[in-house]
Amino acid sequence: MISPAPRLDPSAHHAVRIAIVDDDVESCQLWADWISHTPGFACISQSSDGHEAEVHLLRDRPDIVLMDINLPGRSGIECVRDIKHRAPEIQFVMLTVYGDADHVFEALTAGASGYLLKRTSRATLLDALREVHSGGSPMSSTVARQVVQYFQHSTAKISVPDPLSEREREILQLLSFGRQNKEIVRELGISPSTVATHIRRIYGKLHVHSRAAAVGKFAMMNGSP
Amino acid sequence: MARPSNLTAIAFLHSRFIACALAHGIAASAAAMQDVAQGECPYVIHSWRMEDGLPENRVRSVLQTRDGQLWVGTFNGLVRFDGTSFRALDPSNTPGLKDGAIRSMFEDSRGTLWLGHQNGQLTTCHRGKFSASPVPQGWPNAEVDSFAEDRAGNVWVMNREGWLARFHQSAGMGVVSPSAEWLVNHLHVDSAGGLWTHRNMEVIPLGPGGMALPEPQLRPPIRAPLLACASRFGGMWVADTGLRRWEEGRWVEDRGPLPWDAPGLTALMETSAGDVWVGTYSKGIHVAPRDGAAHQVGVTEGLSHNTVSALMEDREGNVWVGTGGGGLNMLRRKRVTMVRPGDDARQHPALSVTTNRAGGLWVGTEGAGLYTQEGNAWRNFDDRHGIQRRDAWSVLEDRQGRVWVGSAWNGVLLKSGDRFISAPGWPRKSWLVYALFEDSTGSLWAGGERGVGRLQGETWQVFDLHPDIVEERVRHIAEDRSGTIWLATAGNGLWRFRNGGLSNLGPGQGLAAKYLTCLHVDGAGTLWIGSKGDGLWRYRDATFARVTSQHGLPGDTVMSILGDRTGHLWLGTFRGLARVDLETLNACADGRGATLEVLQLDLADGLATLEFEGPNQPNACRAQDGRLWFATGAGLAVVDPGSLRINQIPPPIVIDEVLVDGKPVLRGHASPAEEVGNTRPRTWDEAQSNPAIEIPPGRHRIEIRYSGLSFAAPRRVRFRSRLEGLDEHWSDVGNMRMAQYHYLPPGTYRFAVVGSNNDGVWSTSEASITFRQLPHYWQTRWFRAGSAGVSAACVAMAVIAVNRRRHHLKLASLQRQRDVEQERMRIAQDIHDDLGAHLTRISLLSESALAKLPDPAPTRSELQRIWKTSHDVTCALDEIVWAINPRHDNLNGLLNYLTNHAQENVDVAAVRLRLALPVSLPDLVLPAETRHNLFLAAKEALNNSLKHASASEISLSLHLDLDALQFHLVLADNGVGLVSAREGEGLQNMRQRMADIGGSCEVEGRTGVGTTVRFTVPVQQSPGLAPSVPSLIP
Repeated sequence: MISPAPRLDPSAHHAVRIAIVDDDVESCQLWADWISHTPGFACISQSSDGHEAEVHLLRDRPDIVLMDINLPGRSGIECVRDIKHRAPEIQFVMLTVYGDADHVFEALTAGASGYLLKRTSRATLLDALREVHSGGSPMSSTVARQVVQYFQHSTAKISVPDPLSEREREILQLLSFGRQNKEIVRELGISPSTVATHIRRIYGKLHVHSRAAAVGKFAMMNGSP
Repeated sequence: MARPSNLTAIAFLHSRFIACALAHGIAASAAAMQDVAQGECPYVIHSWRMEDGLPENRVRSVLQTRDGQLWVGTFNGLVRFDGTSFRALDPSNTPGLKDGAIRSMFEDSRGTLWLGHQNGQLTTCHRGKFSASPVPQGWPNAEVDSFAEDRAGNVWVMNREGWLARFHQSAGMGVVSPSAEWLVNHLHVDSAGGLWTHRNMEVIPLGPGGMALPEPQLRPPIRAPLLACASRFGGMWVADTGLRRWEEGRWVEDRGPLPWDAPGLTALMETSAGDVWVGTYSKGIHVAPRDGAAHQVGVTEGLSHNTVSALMEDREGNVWVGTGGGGLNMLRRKRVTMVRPGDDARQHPALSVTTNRAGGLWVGTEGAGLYTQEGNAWRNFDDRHGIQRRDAWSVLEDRQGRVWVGSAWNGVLLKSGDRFISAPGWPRKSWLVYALFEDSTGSLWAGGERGVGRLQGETWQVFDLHPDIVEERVRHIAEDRSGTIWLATAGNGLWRFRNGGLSNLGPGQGLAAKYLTCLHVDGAGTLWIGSKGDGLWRYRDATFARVTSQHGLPGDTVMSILGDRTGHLWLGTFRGLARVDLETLNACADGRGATLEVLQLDLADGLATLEFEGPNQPNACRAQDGRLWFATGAGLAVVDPGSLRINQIPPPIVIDEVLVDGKPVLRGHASPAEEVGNTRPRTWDEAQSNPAIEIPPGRHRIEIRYSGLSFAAPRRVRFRSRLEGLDEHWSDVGNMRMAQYHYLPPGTYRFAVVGSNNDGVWSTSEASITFRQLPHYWQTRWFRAGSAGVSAACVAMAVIAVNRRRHHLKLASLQRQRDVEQERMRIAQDIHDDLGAHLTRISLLSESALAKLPDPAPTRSELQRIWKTSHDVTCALDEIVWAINPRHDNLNGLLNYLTNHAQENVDVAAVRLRLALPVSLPDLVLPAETRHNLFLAAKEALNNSLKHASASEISLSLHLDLDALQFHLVLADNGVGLVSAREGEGLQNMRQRMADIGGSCEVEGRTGVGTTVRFTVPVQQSPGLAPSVPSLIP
C-alpha cells in the first residue's frame, strides 16, 4: 500500500543511503544489487547478524535500514530497539518471510516505520524505500487495528507519556476500516503530507509508549510505584 | 420439441385475483426504458439453488397460494418457501402425500391445492390436509402437465399423453378425451372464462363435453408451435414467432416478433402490469412490456440458467422463474438504477454530480477524473485537461455556463476551452475545496479549508471562519429564502453569513453535532442539516431539533439531502437511500411522538453500495426530468420519485411451528407434519377446536417460529410480537422470525405477532397461538418457600464436587495441549527459517535474472514461470506456517492474517476494502484446523470477488454472537453477482471446508448488486480451554 504522498526525487539531492541486515547472504546481495543499480540509491553496507549490524549502522548512519525480523542470535527487533534509541534519525523497514502480524507489530513498537514481505518485487521495494525517505510511513489496516488495541490495552495499566491526539485516533480508525491515505485526505480534509506526518507521529508514539511500558514494568518488578 | 409448462394458466388465474393490488404497478417510465436500452438489466435478480435448500436445481413448477405461501415443485420433492428458508414436504413427513415427484400445481377457487405427479397421480391439499385424489378409470401413468378451472367450478387436468379429465365437486370425475395426438399439452382459461387447449399449431376451445369441434373462424391462425395464455385486456395472448393478442375472432394487438428463430417456448404469462413474459427452452426470457422496448433476460443479465421451466408472478409483482438446472430465480424491477460514467469510473467512487445546461450531467470522481454527458456518450477530463490526479471533488456549472471544479490540488479550477485552469483571482491556491454553490444573486461560493470564498463579478473575496481554529472545513453551502447563506463545517457546526459577517451556531444554540455534512432548504424554507453520526437536524424559528435512527432513520449519518415534488426528503446515508415524508419528519422533530414514514432503498432495490458519498457539494442533484441523482462509492444512483412503486401488499403472517425443548408440538398447515416420538403434532384444525397447547409441568424452553410472507426483500420484513400474560406492550423484534421463552411460570398465554413488508406496510391482522403452561402439584407458594434453602445447599455441594473434578481434567488436558503446541511451534519455526529463506531466494534470483535478460530472450517465459511458481509456493508456505503456529490460535490471529491477505490482494487489483471488525475481541480459541479452513474458505470467496465479480468494493466484517456460541464472518462485494460458471466448484469447496469445522456458509448473489458470503463458525464454550488439537506428529 503505497500512499500517494508527494515524493522527493532521490536523484535531486544526494543518493538515499541504504543498509541491509539479513543473515541470508545471497538474498542480501541481490537486494544490494537492485538498490545500487537504481539511480538515487546507494547500498552502503550489508550485515549478516545483529552485532555486526550495530557496528555498521552506528558508524555509517544510513538513511534507511532494511532489517530482517528473524536474525539468528540477536533478533532484528532487539537491534531496532537498541539502535533507534541511539540514532533516532535512522529509519527501519523490516523484512519478513511471511506477514506475521505479531512480530511485525513488535518491530513497529521497537521503532521501525514499516515492513515489507521478502517476496516483494523490485518495483515495490524501491517504491517503499522512496516513500519512507520522503517522510511517508505506510500503515496497513491490520497494524492500525493493533495500534488501537495496544493503546487501549496498555492505557488501562500505565499512564501514557504521550497519548494519541484526537486527530491521530481518527486517522487510525479510518485506516483500520481499510481506508487508503487518499480517502483519509478527503474525509478529514488534511493534505496528503499531513496524513503522512500524523502516521509517522503515531509510529513515534508507539515507540515512546512501548519504552515507557517497559520501564513501567521494570519499575513495578522492582517494587517502585 | 419444447416441453410446455402448465404455469401459464395458473399464473394468470392467480394474478387475476389481485389485478388491482399493485397500485403503482403500471409500466415503467420512459426514463427507465432508456436505461434498458443502455444495457442495464432493469431487474434485481435473486437466485436459490440446492445449496440453499431446494430439493433439485430443476424446478418443475412454482405457485403462490392465496394464503401467501410460495410452493416449489420438483421431481425430487415439494418445498414451501417463506423468503428466507425452504421447508421440504415429502411422503416421509407429510401424511397423505404419497409421492414426492411434482410436475405441476394449481389452486382452485375453493382454495384446494392440486399437485400433479410425474407418475400421473394427483394429490389435493385442503385446509392443510393432504390426500391422494382418485383418478378416472384408465388414466395413464403419464406426467400431469396442466390444470385449469372453468366457470362452473370444474377442474380440468391434462397429462403428457394428451388425456383430459374433468373433476366436479359433486358430480365426480371422468375422462373427457383420451388422446395421444398432442405435441403441446396445455390448458388455459380466457378472460371471459372460456376454456382452451392448444396443440402443435392450434388453439382449440373446450366445451362441457370436451373439445368443441373446430370452428375455423373462431380459432386464431397460427404460424408455428405456440403457447397461449389469457389476457386481462380480453381474449388471449398467442406466442408463436411473435406475440399477438386474439380477441373475438381477430388479432387486436401485436407486441412484435420474438427475437429468436426457433426458440422452443416453455412458458407464457401476463403480469398484473400488463407486461407479457415468454420463457424459452434455451434462450432465457423475452419480456414484451405494455409500454417501452422489449428486452431479454438470460444468463448474461444474471439469470441462473437459460432454460426456463416455469413463470409466475406473485401478489407483490415479483416474477418467479423456475429453471431447468439453475434452481429458482426471483426478478424484481429495480427502483434505483446505477450509472457509471465510462468504464474507468467503475473502480472509483463518484463524489460530485450536477446538471449541465444541456440537460445532461457533470460527474466528479476520485481518481477517474471528471465526466460530462455529450449526447448519449460520456466525455472524460483528466490530468491532460488539468484535472490533477484525476480527482474532482466538486463540480458546478453556473448560470452563465462556466464550469468550476474544486479539489485538493490548486483550489478552484475553471474550464477554459478543453482545459481546466486555476480560477483567475482565486486567492487560496493551497486550499482543499469541497463545496461549490451559486446563490440567487449569481454569486459563486467556494467552501474549503478554513473558510469560504465568494466570487462577485470578477472579484474573489475570502471569509475566514475563525483565525484560531484549525479544524474548520466548509463542506456544504446553502441559501435560505431571506438570502442568508449557511455553511456546514466538519468540526465546528453551522455558520451563518449575513450582512457581510459570519457567526457560529453550535452547542450553545442547541446544535450538538459538530461534524456536519450537508444542507437543504425545503419548500417551506426550513433548513435541514445532515451530520456524520448525529442524525438529521432541523433549524426553524431559531431552534434546532434532531431526528435520528431512534425515530426510524436508517442510520445517523446523512451524506446528501434532496427534495422531490411530492413532499419528501431523500437522504443518502451509509445504509442506503431513504425517502422520508416531510410531515412526519417535522412531527418527529417537534417531539410529537409521531411515527416517521420512511421508505428505505438498499441493495434489494438495485443499489450497488450502501455508502453514499460526501461530504462534498454538489453530491446529489435533481435533473430536469425529475429524476434524482446521487454520488455513491460505486457510481451514480438514480431514482425516479414520480414512478416509484411502493409495495402496498401487507404480508400475511403465519405461525409455522411451536417447539417445546426443541421438539415440535404444533405445526402450521403448510409444514410437514412429522411424527415426533409418540405424540403426533397437532394440526391447525385440532388446535382450533381446542386452542390451548398444554405444556407439561416443569421448566421448558418454548420456541415459536413464524414468518411474514413478503418476498420483495425478506430481510426487510419486520415483526412486532407480544406474549399476552407476560408482556404488556408490543415489542419491535426486527427481522427475527422466532420468539423464545424460557421457564414460563404456570398460566395461560397468547402469543401474537404482526409484520410489515419491505416498504413498511403492516399486516392487517395478527397471527396468534394460545398455550397453557401446567403447574407441578408442588408449584405452590408455600412449597417453594420451604424448599428454597434446602435446594441451595444441595446445589452448592454438587457444584464444588463437579468443579474439582473438572479442574483435574483440565490440568491434564492443558499439559497435553502444551506439548503439542511446542511441537507445532518448532515445526513452524523450521519451515519458516529454512524452506522459507530458500524459496525467497529462488524468487529473488529469478526476478533478478529476468531483469538482466536481453529483451527478446528465448528463456524469458520459462524464467517468468519459475518466478511465478516460487512466488506462489512462498505464499502457500506462508499460509501453512501461519496455520501451524499455535501462537495464532485465536480470533485475533485469524483476523490479522486475513486482513493482511485481503489488503495485499485488493491493493494489487485496485479495489477498495472496507473493514468492520471490532477493535477488542474476546479471547476465543480457534484451533488450527478451524482457523486454516476458515481462512481458505474466506480466501476463496475473496478470490471470486476479485477475479470474477468486477467489484469496486469488498467489505469484510465480523459479527460476534456469543450467546449462540458462534460468530459470523461476512465477505461482501458490489460486483456482478453470482455467475453460474464460477459457482460450482469454488462454492462446493467453501461449503465443504465450513462443514469440516462444524460451521456453515451462505452465499447470496444478485446481479448488479453483488455477492455476500456469510461464514458461520461455532466456538468453544469456555474461552481459554482449547479443544483437543489435532496432532501433527504421527
